[in-house]
Amino acid sequence: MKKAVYIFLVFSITSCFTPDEYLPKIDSEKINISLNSTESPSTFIKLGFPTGTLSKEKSNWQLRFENTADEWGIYTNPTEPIRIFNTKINRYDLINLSSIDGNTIWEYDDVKSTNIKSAIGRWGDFDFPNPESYKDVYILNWTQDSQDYYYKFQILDADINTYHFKYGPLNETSFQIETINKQEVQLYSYFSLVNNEQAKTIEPNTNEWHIHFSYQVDSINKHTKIPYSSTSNSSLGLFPSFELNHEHVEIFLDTVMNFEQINYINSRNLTFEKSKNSIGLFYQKDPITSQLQSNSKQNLILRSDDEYYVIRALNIIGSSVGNHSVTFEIKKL
Amino acid sequence: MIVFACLITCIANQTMAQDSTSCAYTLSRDDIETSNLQNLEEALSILPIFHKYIKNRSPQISYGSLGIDNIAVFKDGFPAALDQNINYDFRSIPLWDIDRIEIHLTPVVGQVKNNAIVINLYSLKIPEQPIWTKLNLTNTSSSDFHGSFILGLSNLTHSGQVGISRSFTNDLYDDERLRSTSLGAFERYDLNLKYQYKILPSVTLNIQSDNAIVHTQNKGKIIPGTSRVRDHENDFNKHNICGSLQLKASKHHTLSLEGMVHHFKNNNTLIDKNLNSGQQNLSTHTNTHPNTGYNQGLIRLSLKSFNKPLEYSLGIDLSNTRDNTYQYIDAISTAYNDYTAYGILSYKLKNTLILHGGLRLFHNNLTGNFLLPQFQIELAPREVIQLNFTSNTSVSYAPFRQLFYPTNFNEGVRNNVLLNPIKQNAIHANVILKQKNLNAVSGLIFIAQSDIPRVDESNTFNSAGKASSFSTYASINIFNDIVSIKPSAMMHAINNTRDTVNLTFFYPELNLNTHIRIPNSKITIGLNAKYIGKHTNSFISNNTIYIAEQQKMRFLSLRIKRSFIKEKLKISFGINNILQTPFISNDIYRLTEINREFIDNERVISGYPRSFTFKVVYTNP
Repeated sequence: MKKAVYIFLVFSITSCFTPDEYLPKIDSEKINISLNSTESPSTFIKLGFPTGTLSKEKSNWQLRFENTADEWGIYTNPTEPIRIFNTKINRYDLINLSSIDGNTIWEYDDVKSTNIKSAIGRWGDFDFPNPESYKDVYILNWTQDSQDYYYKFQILDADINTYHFKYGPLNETSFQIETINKQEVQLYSYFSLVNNEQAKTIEPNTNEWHIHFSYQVDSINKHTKIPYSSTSNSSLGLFPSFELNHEHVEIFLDTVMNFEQINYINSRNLTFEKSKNSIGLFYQKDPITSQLQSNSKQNLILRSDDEYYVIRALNIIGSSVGNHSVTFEIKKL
Repeated sequence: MIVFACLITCIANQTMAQDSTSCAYTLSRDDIETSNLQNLEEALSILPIFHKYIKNRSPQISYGSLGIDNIAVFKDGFPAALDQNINYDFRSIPLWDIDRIEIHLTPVVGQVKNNAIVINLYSLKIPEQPIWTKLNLTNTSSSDFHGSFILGLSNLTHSGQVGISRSFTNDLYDDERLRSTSLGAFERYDLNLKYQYKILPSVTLNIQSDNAIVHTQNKGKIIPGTSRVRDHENDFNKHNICGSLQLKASKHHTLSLEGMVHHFKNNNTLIDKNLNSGQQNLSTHTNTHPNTGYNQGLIRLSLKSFNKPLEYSLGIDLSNTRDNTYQYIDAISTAYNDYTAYGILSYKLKNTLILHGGLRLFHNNLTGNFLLPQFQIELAPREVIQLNFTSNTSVSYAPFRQLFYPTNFNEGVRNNVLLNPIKQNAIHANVILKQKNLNAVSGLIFIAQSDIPRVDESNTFNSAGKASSFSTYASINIFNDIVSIKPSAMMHAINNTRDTVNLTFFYPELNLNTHIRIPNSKITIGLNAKYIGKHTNSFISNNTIYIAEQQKMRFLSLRIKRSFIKEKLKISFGINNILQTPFISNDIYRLTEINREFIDNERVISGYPRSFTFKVVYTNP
């Protein structure tokens, strides 16, 4: 019997689960993005393996409307200093150039840490299934090709998936009434007041991009450590920025771990948050030479549909924010 | 099919009151070894009448419209897999201590409520030897290993047996170049115990306990662009203990008290691994396979009388099935109780006729009372040609998750604690021919099911479905001291959606089990073969009718065995699954008003690929 037991024990260990094979480290991916504030201020990237990029030329639009269900924000073109005055008057025909005086308080879209506060602001009562517009008339002003533009704009009403608004040049009695249907496939609908039409090729479909590198106009005093390019308004700068596809992406900014150390297992328990945008995250100025530099200590970890990525800027070539190229390092976790 | 093997043996060894004519097929110890079957799930591929394939790592086992959870499985007279409406892992039921497996069609029995078809496993008897051992080792060319060791002790009053086993089955890959497995490797450890105490010549105590741990590793694919994988691991642990106290109350009466406690846990884990750094951790990702676990308690009291010409069997049966993982889920209940009382009478009129009839009255605390009649007539039971007709009504419970679990366990469908048990009305008729070296049987069986759970318009399960299965079979068993040949042929007809559209699909099945002993050579050759033709079936999902068309399946195993040292040592060499294609296509069509529309081509697994088997069995004395 002893022999039988020995034989049983010897044979028992012959077949086992195969151990996991060692896999070499996967190299991170490097992509180069060129941004030019006057010609191609916009590049969308889709994280993946490999990462895809899509560069867009500058286009002429002033307002964009949120398409996400239950979101009703209206924002201005972030690459142009567009200021807005809420007249708090409902009579569209009574608003003209004389409505602007020394007491007029102009507002710009206000950049917060993870969000943008729209200059148009809360334009109605959103406690109803169909928002009820306050019907305030807004005056918009911007400069383009050395020409000043003044427009007035009034949200008439909205239903579950439609914006309905009235607009026209401030000094003219003629006006246009336009309807914009929320397009679920894109985050925003873009509209050009000057061209009287929707701009439809500004943004790829939401499932085709994760990050949108571009510019954002904001107060120079607010971001003293971030390089910027000057604008027609001396108190406003054009900052390098990016937008996030907040329907699909959540982020965590890691400034402690090295890029190399960041991996899936230590990232998946981080507290990720939804964010719409960020200004100057990967940029800094050399304190001595004032040259544009990458801030490679900022590691942005992104989570999209249970896939994790970390991205950092490796180097920046170009002397000005208005025309430069950045090499990003992207690692799928 | 059906091969009709050793009717007399069936009767002699039955631990349940099952009639001989219902025993339609026996898979012997030799058949089990020829096909290198290691667990019940593997055996269900080979067993006639059953159709088995694996889809998304989950075995789909059925006879016609009856899923395996509508078919009772017993080991030595006790439920081997609880009430079976709980996704029991049949890989945890090993075959190394099994002497034979029998399939009974429409048996007339008292204790079983789902007795349209019953699978009985009979374990090896404890030999009346002071000490004996049996070592069983199997290695295959697929790097599988199966080993068991049994030690038995007996002094005629006390007999005991301890069996331990380790079984390892390697991965199955669709593409060997990829890491992801189609079927993960699994390892099972068993500890099976048996004890018999003959307290008095008329009082016997039997206790046995089966314990198994099954660990499965399903390897995931390498996530593109990373060194990372997500593996799915499954741990199935089961423990059961059952016992019976038999008192021979008089010359013709036996009183039995039987009890069983069965517990299992089925845990699924997702593990994230970094194959570069070696880091691994439990995944936070939602597991699509929820953990489950159930307990069953059972107690029976029965009285059997063997008086001529009237025999009878009376008894009561109390059972409780309880969820041990989600005891407070959905805040309703996660347990049910059955209380059964039954009486079976058999009246023999000389040698011309035996009438069996019986009633079972059972009460389920969720769904109420049921009265299940059964009836059988055997004409000329001791003549060369015997005719039999059986009719019975049986029930099986809806899947536990459909009764109790919330929507996220049921693909968005709401549970219904008031689902009726699924009813099975069966009619079975056959003709048996008995000669000295030849048995033959031919018959037909029709089973109509009703109250099958379907999803209604309010997205809730309700008892509305109907289905039916029909089979006609013929089989022969030619045997003498040298050869045993058991061919059989069947034609099955399935209608799974009788409540909605009357679509009946046919498929053929052929089986051949042969063992030849070469005289004066101590060599035995065995052959097991099974063929299932193109299998078409209809099913309902989201109130849409689909048709699944599956390729044919072929199983062929050969074995040559030689005995040494006065039959103590047996060495055999076999080839399994010779003609088998592990992956077969399963085309899915959606039924439209005028035609069917192709939807998808799935690849499902019919079995493991061809492998060579080397087996050593050593028995002492």
